[in-house]
Amino acid sequence: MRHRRRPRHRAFSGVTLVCSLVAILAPHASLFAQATASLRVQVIYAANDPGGVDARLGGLAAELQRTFRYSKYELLDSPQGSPALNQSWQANLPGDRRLEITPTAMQGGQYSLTVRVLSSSGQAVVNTRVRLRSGATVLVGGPSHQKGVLIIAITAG
Amino acid sequence: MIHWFHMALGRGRRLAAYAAAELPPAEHARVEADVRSCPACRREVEAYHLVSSTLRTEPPARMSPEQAAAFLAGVERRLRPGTAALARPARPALRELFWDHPRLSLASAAAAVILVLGLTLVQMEVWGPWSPSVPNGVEVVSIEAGEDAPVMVFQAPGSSLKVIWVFEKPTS
Repeated sequence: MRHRRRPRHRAFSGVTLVCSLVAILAPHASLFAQATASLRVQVIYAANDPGGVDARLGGLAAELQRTFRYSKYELLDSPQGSPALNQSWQANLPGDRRLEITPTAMQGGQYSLTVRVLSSSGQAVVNTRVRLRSGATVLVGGPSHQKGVLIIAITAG
Repeated sequence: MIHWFHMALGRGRRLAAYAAAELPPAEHARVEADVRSCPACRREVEAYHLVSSTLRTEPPARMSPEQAAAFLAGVERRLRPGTAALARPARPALRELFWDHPRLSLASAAAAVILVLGLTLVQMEVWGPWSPSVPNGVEVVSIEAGEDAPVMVFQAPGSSLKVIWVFEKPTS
C-alpha cells in the first residue's frame, strides 16, 4: 500500500490561513457582541463657600481650579453605567433633576453621546451632542444648586 | 562584442549549421570569414564540434524487451484519459498557488495582518483622521438649551477640559 506523505508546508499553510482569519476577526469581536459605552459621571457642587476641594475628585480637582474660580468643590455623587447603543442611561441630580446620556455611535475608542440635563418638569435644560475619545472628559455645568452651581463631569470609555 | 552582435542577428543558428557543414558553399565561405575574425564565434564552433562528436561516439541506449514493454505500458498508462496526470490542469489553480507555496501564503497572511492592524488603528483613531482641532479628545457637535438659559462652550487656558456652561437662573 502506497502512502502519500502529506507535505509539511501544507500544514503550515493551514496554520497561516487560520491565523489570518483570527487576525481579521479579532479586532471586530465587538461587532458580534452587544456594544456598550462605559460611562463615569461625577456630580460636583461648586460654590464660593469655605470647604476647599474634595479629595475624592483626584486629578479632576486641579483641572477644575484651573478652569473656574470657585473656592469649594464637593463631590456629591459618582454614578456609573454601561448603556448599549441608542439606549438611554439616567442618573439623578440634585434638585429633582436628571441626567440622561444616550450613546449614539461607538467606533474604535470614540463615543458619540447625546447628553441631556432634564429639569424637574422633564424639560431639557441643555441638550448636547458630543464626541468623546475614550478616557476624555467633558464638563456640563451651570445648573444652580444651593448657593452655587452643579458641574457634571462625564467620562466615556 | 562582435560575437554578441552576431548572436543578436541570429547567426548562432548559422554557426551551428556551419559547424555541422550544412551550409551552401557561398554561405559557408562567408561564415568562415566571420569565424576567423571573431574568436568567440570560433570557440562556439569548437563547442558545437565537441558536442556533435560526443553524441556520435556515445553508444545508443539499449533496453531489454521486458524493460521496453514496461516502459511503454507506463507511458500508455500516463496518457490514458482520466488518470491523475491528465486530471491535473496545465496551469496551477489558485488554490494550488496559495496552498502549495508556503512563502506565498505566509506573505498573504502577513499582508492581511498588516491591513487589519492598519484599519484597526485608523478605527481607534490611534493613527488616522482624528480632528487636530480637538487635542483633548472632546468635540461638541451640537448644543441646544432651554428658553432663558443661554449656553456657551469654552476651554480655559492651561486646562484640558472642555466646558458646556448653562447660564441658568438661580432658583431661590
